[in-house]
Amino acid sequence: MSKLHRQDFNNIFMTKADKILIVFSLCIGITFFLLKSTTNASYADVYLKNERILTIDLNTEKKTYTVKGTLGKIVIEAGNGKIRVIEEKSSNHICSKQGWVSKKGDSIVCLPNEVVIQLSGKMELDTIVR
Amino acid sequence: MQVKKMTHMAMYASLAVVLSIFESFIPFFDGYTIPGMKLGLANIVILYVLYTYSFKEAFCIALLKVFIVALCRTGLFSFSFYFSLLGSVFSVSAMGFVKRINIFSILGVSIVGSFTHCLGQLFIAYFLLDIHLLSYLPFMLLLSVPTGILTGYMSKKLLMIQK
Amino acid sequence: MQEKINKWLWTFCFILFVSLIGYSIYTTYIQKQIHSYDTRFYSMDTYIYVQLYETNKEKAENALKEVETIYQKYHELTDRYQSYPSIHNLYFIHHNESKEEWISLDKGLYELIETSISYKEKSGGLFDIRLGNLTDIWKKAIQEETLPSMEELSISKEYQEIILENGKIYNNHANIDLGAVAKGYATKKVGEYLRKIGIDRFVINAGGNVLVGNHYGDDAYKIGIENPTSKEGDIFIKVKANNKAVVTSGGYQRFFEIDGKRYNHIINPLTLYPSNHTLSVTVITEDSLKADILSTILFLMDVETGLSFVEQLEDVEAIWYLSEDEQITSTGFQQYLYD
Repeated sequence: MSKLHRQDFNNIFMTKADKILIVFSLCIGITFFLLKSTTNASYADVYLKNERILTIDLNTEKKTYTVKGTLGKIVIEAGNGKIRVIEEKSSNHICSKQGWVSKKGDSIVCLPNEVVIQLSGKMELDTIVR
Repeated sequence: MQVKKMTHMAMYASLAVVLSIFESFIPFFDGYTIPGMKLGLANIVILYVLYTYSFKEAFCIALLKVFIVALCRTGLFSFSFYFSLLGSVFSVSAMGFVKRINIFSILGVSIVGSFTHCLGQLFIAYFLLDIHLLSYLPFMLLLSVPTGILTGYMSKKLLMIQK
Repeated sequence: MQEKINKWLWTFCFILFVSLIGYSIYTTYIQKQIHSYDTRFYSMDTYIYVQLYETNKEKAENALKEVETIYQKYHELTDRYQSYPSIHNLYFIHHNESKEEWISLDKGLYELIETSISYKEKSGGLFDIRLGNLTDIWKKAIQEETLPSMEELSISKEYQEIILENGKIYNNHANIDLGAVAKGYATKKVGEYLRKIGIDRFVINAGGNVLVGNHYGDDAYKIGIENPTSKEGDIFIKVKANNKAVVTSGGYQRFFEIDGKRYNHIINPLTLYPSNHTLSVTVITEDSLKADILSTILFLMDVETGLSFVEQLEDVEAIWYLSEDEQITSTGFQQYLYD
């Protein structure tokens, strides 16, 4: 077994720098949390791999949309300003457990299906005529 | 000596792989609930290697881990592969660098590694998917502190035993 | 050495912390940022979405409340199925038991009926608000999914003439149908209201009626037009515009099928049957009411007539979605195309 260098052991116990790092990570994290945008999103872009396959208007009555992901179909429910995944094929069903999402900048990521639902702050389209 | 090191390396690599697969079974910290949010158990091994050997070895173990995990689970060059690749490369490089500065203990190094792992994944999300997950950043920063402390503490214990 | 590093580190962190707090105070209190404010509600039988870009939060929120009351006001005025206390709406005009010879009308409703009548001539009789009976028959038909008999349809052609004078309508119980234009008019009024109070950056989407103001940056609003053949809220074309109304008329949302033939809710008053020339037609022009009326007229016209009709008009462009492979645009439509 190789020898540990003397120098490495100087800092094996918590140093002042460590404490500062911890405190400030927490501070910055919390501050940004408080500053986080709470604007409601009005559209959701659905991406498969990196191609946008669907833009969903969230300002309508509740509707379901079906998208084909890598592992199988994904059923998305959207309306009244929010969106969620209600059915998908994956081992852990993470994105369906995530529930409703409604804020700009939020996203639902179904990595096993390579599908990303993004409620982006800078929307590609401002509105849809139907 | 060479052979001995080689076997050790192989052992560490497999340990990292096992831990990394194991942690994906832990609910909530499986990396999907919040993209990139993992306990980072494999980081214990990488930190240990970084401290007992050097940056070069740690880097190799990290890369090996990414490739083998991808082979076992998601397939090479899949989406998740690129995510963990960039995350690991970011993380191990940052840890090597921070260790060099020599003002942080292993806990600090681990927190930095944990955070940069997330950062790397945000980058790859931006380049591959062209989506901005920046809103996750403060969240990741917050979570990387406890996970970083956890893995850092475990590696510290390991190193103490070694000593 | 260690001491020195720690000192520097503390100083650095202190500066970081102070600047962070300073920045957050600056963004929230000092810098007047344009924020987007939005509201969504159900009125005029559709989901309406209004988004404003404003620096003053209170002003924006009051404006949004007022917008909702404007829509509600025109919803009540143009309601054909229900009466409201002390409002002379379309239901009242049709069913009232008043002995008076003339009924006084709300200024907005008067203007709306007047404008609508003026388009009857221009469209060669295709746009006719007098045919409330016909709409009722087809509405029932769509609900029950059965074709109305020819006899029923020809009876519906007996309508009362609409006579307007000095803000009043002659009380002959006319069955007026403003379903095709009410949303466009209310949207126009909302746009006028917003501009009047100094908010000129807005997006209004009232079920097929989109009205956009100035852009919040120095760009133009990007508007998607829905693909009538897909049920997934998909779009087939994107347009870019500021200070324009974009209105779609389509028979793909409310219809029924018999023997493979589609019967939608937009009825041609000359043939008494739904029009099937196109799946949808979208009109872009400045005036939201004009856009709404024209989109209905173009939906009823066959495409060639419609195309030459649009070319005569200034500042009006249109796109027809005939099928998945065939979409026709008027010549000036290119200027709005985006990507």
